[in-house]
Amino acid sequence: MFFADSPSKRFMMYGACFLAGVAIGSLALEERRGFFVFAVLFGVLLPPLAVFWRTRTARTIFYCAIAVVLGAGRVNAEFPAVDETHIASQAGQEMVFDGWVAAEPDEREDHTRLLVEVEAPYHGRVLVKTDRFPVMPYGTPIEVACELERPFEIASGRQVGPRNDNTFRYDRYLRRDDVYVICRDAMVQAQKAERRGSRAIAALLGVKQKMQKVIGENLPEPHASFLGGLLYGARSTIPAELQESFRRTGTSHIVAISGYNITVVTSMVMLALMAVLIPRKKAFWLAIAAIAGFVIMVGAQASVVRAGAMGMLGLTAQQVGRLARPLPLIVAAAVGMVLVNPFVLLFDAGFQLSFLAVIGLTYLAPDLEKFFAWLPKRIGQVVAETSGAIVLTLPLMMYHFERVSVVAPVANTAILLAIPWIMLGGFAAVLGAWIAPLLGQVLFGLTWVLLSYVIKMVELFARLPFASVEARVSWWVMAGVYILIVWMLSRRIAPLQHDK
Amino acid sequence: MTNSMATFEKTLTVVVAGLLVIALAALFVVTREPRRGDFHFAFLDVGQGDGTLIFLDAKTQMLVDCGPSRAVLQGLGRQMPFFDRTIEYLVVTHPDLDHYLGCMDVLARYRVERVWWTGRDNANDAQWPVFKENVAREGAEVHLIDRAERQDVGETVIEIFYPDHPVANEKTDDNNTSIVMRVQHGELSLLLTGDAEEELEHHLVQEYGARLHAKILKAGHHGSNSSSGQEFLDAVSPDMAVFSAGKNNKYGHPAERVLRRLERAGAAIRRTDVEGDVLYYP
Repeated sequence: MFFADSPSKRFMMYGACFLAGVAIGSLALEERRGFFVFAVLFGVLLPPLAVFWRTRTARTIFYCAIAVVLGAGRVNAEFPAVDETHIASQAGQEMVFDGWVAAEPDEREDHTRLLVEVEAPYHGRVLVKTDRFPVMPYGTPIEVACELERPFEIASGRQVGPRNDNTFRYDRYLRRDDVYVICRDAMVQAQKAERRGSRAIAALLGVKQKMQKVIGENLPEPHASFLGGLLYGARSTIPAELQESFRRTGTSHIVAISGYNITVVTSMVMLALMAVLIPRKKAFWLAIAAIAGFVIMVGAQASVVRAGAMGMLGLTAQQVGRLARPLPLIVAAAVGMVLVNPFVLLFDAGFQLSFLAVIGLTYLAPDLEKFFAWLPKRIGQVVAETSGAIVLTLPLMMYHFERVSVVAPVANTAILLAIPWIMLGGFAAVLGAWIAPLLGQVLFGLTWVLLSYVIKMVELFARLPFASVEARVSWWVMAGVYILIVWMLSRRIAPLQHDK
Repeated sequence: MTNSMATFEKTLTVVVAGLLVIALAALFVVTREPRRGDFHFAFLDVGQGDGTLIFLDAKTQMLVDCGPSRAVLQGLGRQMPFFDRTIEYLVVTHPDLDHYLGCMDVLARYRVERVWWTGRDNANDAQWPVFKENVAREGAEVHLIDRAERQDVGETVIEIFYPDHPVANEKTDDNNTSIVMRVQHGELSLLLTGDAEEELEHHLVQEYGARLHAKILKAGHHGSNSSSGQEFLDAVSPDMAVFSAGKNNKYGHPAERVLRRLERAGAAIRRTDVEGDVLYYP
């Protein structure tokens, strides 16, 4: 294992080194530095590499070190060069600037957040908090008047206790979106000018809005918001109490777009296409296109792009027809996404959780299945998959959220079988409503029954006093546990692959 | 062998699905509110704001104000039957955020047949014109309240006490242009005063006196100290007072003094910030 002796193992190894470099860079750097340091590091590493070229161990170590330097360098390159025309240089000023809405507005209970791409004479991005109305859709050219502020670290609302490394770093969180300056209570006015941004994105967001409208007109709350969360990850309008119930029962993942939703969408598309006698090969390309469209439609946030990439990778592996060996694919996906945006690695809990969940699903769940053989097959599978994902994500969840949902395995099993049917019913109902309102109403009625079942179950489990208990771990305990898990898994995988 | 396994799985799936359906049906029967009369009130928990839903009969609802946010949709979701997507009457007592902003969401999600308002605009609020646009787009029948009047809806009598004259350009606080209405159904009566403060309360007492009497009073201005004066409470002499305010709101509504005043007047106190939606059946 250590002497990576196959291309895929070598790739995974250096990929891991690169990710380590990104992690180091993310923690060490707070703003853009000159590339001089990285050049020096390179210079230091190259001569010994040439000298010890023949020793395999040394060569591996030097390659790894170079990957680490590249990782840290990637982080450095992601920081913007804040000159006097960058909007972040104006932090602390009361000012008026022009720009356009660069992402779908994030509509909250009583305000809206706009990601604004600033235009001449400045450049850069600002996250703007403003009134809910009038609505400023993607691409709207606007004028913003507000006081620019730097985002600061926010102490988490919980009692932090002796260890205070867990304050929430809002500034780091926003780096993912290339945001270094924010403003609150902004006055925003639409400008009479040509729409900005991509037409294709605007068109796809339009489809999403039409869906949202039909759902909202046919379903009451919180069912409508919940269905929106399931279908396209729009969870900001799910009421706080219900979100808390999802958290207490460890079921929040169903309302975030994940590999799971994507898989459901893909299999639905493939089934539909093959039902109208389109050959598998063509159906594959259409399914890929469907995933791409879906990703953009739901807003193309980092989490969705990640889920889409995973879905496409899985589909490709299936198509190529060889035995799916997901770990290199998973590492490739992680490296790819970190290359695109290095800040997701450490500052995006969703990114970390979804990768761990995928590893749990693919590597741990098959082993766990035999423990649940006494259950009916489908249910046993669901229980095993749920448990696999839970085991791998648990330490990280304890670190981030400082609590553990005790009822998660039971709650997930109780609801997961209903989810694909809700998604199918929801899509069918939206289409039905476009064809004939009455048809839509009937289908929405059926979906409503299933949605009510899931909501009732989640609320029921959340009400149990022991549903969620406080549990904290420090980062080094968490890291230790993961090293242990990786070691155990790798011991199990290695002999397995030799057998083949 | 595999064949019988497959048959077994199929049977099992059918049995499980059947049990699930029965369990679901049972769940809905058990959790259903016991069916009482059709006419009732639901003071919705909309956070810091007002949202009073009056069920005039099984199919006809009047919503008086919508609170400041989407929370009104949760309230409607809890109280309206699933298949009823129409609000027959939407009353906006005055153009303040905590009374009208949620109406945007109601207009977007429900079919609104009629809108009652006073004709007074909120000039300092950039969101208010959007609301008026949305009302126009909805195509609802708009009814301007600019004089005292009486409306009969089925067996329910709605008396509008205020505004008894056009208030669109009146030089006064928006609160004191609120629609004040009394809803009477059989023995039951409810007085809604929006955000009316003591100045308007005084006017009402002068003008209507004992006609203000109601069994239930929705305390004015979320229970603020600026409303529910003694003189006014004497005229209304309610058996029950409902406070519509947000949990831990920054204004300290309802005010301790107002609560005490109503207790002394012998009214039972009910609060949306404490119990969520406040329901009242005759």
